Amino acid sequence: MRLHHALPLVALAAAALSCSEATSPDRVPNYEWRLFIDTDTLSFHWPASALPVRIWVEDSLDMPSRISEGIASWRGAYLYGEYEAVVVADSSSADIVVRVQTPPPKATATAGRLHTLFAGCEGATDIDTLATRYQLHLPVRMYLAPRYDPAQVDLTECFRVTARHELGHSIGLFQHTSDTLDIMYGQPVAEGLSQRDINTAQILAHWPANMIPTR
Amino acid sequence: MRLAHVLPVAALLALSPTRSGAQVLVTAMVGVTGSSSLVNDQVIQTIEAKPGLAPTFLLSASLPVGAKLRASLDLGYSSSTVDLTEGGSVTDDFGSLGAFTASAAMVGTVASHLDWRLSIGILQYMPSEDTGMFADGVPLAALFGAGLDWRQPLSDRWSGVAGLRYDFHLFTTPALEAAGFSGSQQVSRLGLALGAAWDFQ
Repeated sequence: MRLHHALPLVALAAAALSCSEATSPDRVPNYEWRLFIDTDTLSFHWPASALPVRIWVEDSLDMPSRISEGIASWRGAYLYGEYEAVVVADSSSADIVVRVQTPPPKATATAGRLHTLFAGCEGATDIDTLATRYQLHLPVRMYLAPRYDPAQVDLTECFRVTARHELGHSIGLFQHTSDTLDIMYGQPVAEGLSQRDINTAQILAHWPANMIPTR
Repeated sequence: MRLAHVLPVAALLALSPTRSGAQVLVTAMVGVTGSSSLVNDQVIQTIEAKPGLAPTFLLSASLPVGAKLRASLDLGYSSSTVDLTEGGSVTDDFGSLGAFTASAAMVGTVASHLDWRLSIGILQYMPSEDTGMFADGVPLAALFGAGLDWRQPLSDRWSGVAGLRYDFHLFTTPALEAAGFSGSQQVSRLGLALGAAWDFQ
């Protein structure tokens, strides 16, 4: 093949390729995720230095598996490694503590509780902003509990949905939505994340956070 | 352009007729490659994912196919981090990213000791972590390249080589497409390498 044969080939190929143009998505629709306390509007996401988030899970009703599934689900919502979490064996150093029990009375006056009811189970996540409101007190406490006797009813899917929902609160989605297709709907029924969930998770991960995790 | 369109061209180049008693010239080089961004995104701020400067290894074997032309088969491998820049400042890296290339090239003479080359081939990215935009893998990309090689004879068979390489491909991943990215990112890479060539006469 001579040069005058090869050059048009490469030129044509380059011209064809150069017609392509990448366009990024606009992350619409999305929903409000921030926490409103009086006149404060609070936004939180885990800083890169805090990743992976360490989650301790009470080993009951196969909850570590449900939480691991939830972690994978939320990890898949991100493109640039904004979120990573691992289940750890030591609760004393965990960023999030998941108990399999009915939510007890709130431990502190500064904690806000996001409570969820599903058909056969319930969940709650306590967001303790301390007195400053600009700090997220660790560990975040999460509760998952059956509403019926788990020996009589298969609650696997119920816990799967509720764990995914509560983990959504722990990544900074501090509001419930009004769309039943969202995992962050107040009484979640969605089997997976909606496009609105994904869009909002991506936005909040890059929104300037005014809450910092602290112990 | 799909791989199925590229491979026949590469095969034609590779199977071009050679002269009897052909000289096989084997060249090995090491260098660095810089790349333009793989992804440009906008989430509150501008986000750019871009490979860092990558140590690069190049290996090629060529045969004469004309008075001043050689057909060459080239292999290359580079590896670097993928740096994330948000709002103009580097915020994190996204693990390491290997890039394997295989190309067929035509090589000609510009002047004494100076060769040009045009190549067509494939590029396969190999991320260290199957997460985020790499969660569902990275497809093969068609690769188009050009370059210049300076060859300085050191003996009858050995010569030192300095190479300048440019190549171009389109980048996308199934995860980016699923996230709503349309089209593909045009990626240019520029490399500089030094090495040696051995002439099997």
